[in-house]
Amino acid sequence: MPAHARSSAVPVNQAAQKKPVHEQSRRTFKIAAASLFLLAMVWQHVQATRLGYRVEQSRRQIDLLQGQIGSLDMQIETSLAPAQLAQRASRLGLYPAAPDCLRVLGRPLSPTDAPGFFGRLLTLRREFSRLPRT
Amino acid sequence: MDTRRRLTLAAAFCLLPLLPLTIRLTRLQVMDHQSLETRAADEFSRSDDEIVPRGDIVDRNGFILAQSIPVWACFVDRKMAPDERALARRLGPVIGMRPADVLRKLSASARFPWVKTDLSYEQSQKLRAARIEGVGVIASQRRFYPNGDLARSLLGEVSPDGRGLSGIELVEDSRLVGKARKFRVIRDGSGRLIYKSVEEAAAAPEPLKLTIDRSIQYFAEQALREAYGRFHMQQGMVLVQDPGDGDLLAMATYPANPLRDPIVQDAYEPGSIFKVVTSAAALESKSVTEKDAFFCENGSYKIAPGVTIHDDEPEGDLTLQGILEKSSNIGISKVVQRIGPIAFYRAVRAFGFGSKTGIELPGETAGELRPLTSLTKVGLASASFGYGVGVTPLQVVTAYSAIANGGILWQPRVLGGAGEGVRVRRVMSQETMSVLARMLESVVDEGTGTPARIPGYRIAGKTGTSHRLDLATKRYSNQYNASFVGFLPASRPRWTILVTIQAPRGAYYGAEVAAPVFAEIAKRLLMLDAIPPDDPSTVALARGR
Repeated sequence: MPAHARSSAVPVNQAAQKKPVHEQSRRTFKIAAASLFLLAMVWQHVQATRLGYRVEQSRRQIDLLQGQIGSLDMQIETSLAPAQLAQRASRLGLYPAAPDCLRVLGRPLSPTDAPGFFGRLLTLRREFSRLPRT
Repeated sequence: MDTRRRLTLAAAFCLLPLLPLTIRLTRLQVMDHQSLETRAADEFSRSDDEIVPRGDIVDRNGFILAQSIPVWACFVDRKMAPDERALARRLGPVIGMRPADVLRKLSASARFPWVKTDLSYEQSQKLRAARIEGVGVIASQRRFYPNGDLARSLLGEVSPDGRGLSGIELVEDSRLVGKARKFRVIRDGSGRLIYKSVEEAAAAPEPLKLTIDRSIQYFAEQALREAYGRFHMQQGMVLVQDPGDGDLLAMATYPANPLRDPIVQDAYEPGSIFKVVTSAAALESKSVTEKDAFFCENGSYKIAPGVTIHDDEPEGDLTLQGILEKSSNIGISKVVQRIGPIAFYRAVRAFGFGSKTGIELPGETAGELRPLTSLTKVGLASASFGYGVGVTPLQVVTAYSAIANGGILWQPRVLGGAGEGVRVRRVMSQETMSVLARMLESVVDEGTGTPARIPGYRIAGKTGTSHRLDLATKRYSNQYNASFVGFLPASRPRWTILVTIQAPRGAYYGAEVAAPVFAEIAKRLLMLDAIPPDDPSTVALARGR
């Protein structure tokens, strides 16, 4: 047997033994990966179904709570209706004030008042001119 | 045969029974996949609608006028409840009904009779928890008006299945209905639903905002109720408008009718409140000045053979201001003779009479206006003081708002939130309008409108009293329409108010019947906005007495 053939005989045999082991592990890895993938798909499907139950339950819960909110809103709106407020006010002995008795702070004294010092002076002058002359 | 071949044959023999199984599986899962999936979907999955409540209707300040609330309806499957008496005894206390009443509902011939259709949230919860066999609960919605009958003529009515029948509910039905959200769900073996996906997204309706002010509407309706207590009128109407942009702040009728609104659908002869149109035409055409005097024939004026016009009080010479203050029919008929039919007719049309205003409510009438060519001398004279013309309350208040704001006719509107109002036209010059407004102030200060006075405030207005036409006999009856229309504060008008009382009993003059109602509403408005007096001297004078 030539020397180069003899020297490569061992590596070739080793390579031949290694090759099936390497392929076998790759195959095992692929099968495991595919199985894991399938498992993940199944798990996702199960989760989706479980979430579907919860979503449906939550949806109905929301409907019921919205109904409750609606009822409460109606009670509030009814109690704030002008007729209700007027009734409560009269029971408490309140009555509407005369319109000229009310003042809002920060508003001009008269609808035609001009702002500023000269505006107020003009307004006073106008009001004095309307008073009956004695 | 070597070992390898034998093993292969044995394996093939063992796996052979799997071949038809594989073929079958391939056929089911690959070739028939689509049709089988569709069939499964039809059997187990369905579409579920989520109820979208009908849109809210709110006033200009956001207070709710109409709202749909979820309610639950309870029904019974009679096939699953053979012992109806026992069922009624169990079901009645849960839903707040007497067992006898429940039994009466179950005596209907239908398989699924409704027992109660407006269960509250608490009742529906109790019913679900009770788990009574044969009893089902489904969600529904009910239209609720938290302010009772407030603005019902305007809001209208809704059918049991949630569609608008009249008024705003009808006009804006497509906007208020909204679009239900559709879900895809499947049922499991025990009948529970599993959510899958959203099929169609929902379009929840936005609240519909009106220009109506809830408080002002209440004041108007309250005033009409009090007027009914005093005068037992056939019908009363109050309109409050913002003269600055045409927004309607209140539209009240008594008695209220949710199926029709006389404010837009009925025309009537306005009487003396129409004299302001004649006066405006006279001033604008410059045919009449403020100083011109007209002889009022001491209360009786024969205008044509067989036709005599009368005044309530005999008067001599009156200026235009005096004619309005005393509400002289003779005076105004002489004014219209001077200005002529064309100028008069032009003014009537300019103020919007004889045309629809374009308000967003159903069934509006344009009123009645005789063609110019058919106006005789007597017809012209009658029209000058409001007879022979048919106007709607809406047209009247819009015309007076034009006087209040210096001459701009705004389109009245009741739907808010759409930007600025629609400006129709300039009716007349600002100068004419301000002279007219001053004359209308004198009507309240010194004329027939004194019952509308409020110490401390400048108010402009006009009274009107007209005979009512009997539609059966086509003749004037002994019933009257009493009106008062005005705006305040006259220095810077914020509100135009029309009060019309139809067929009052006892008193019937506008000054006696309608003007006090106007004053009552006006006081409430001034108090609501805390408007300070624009004529404080009259407060001191009033208190000094």
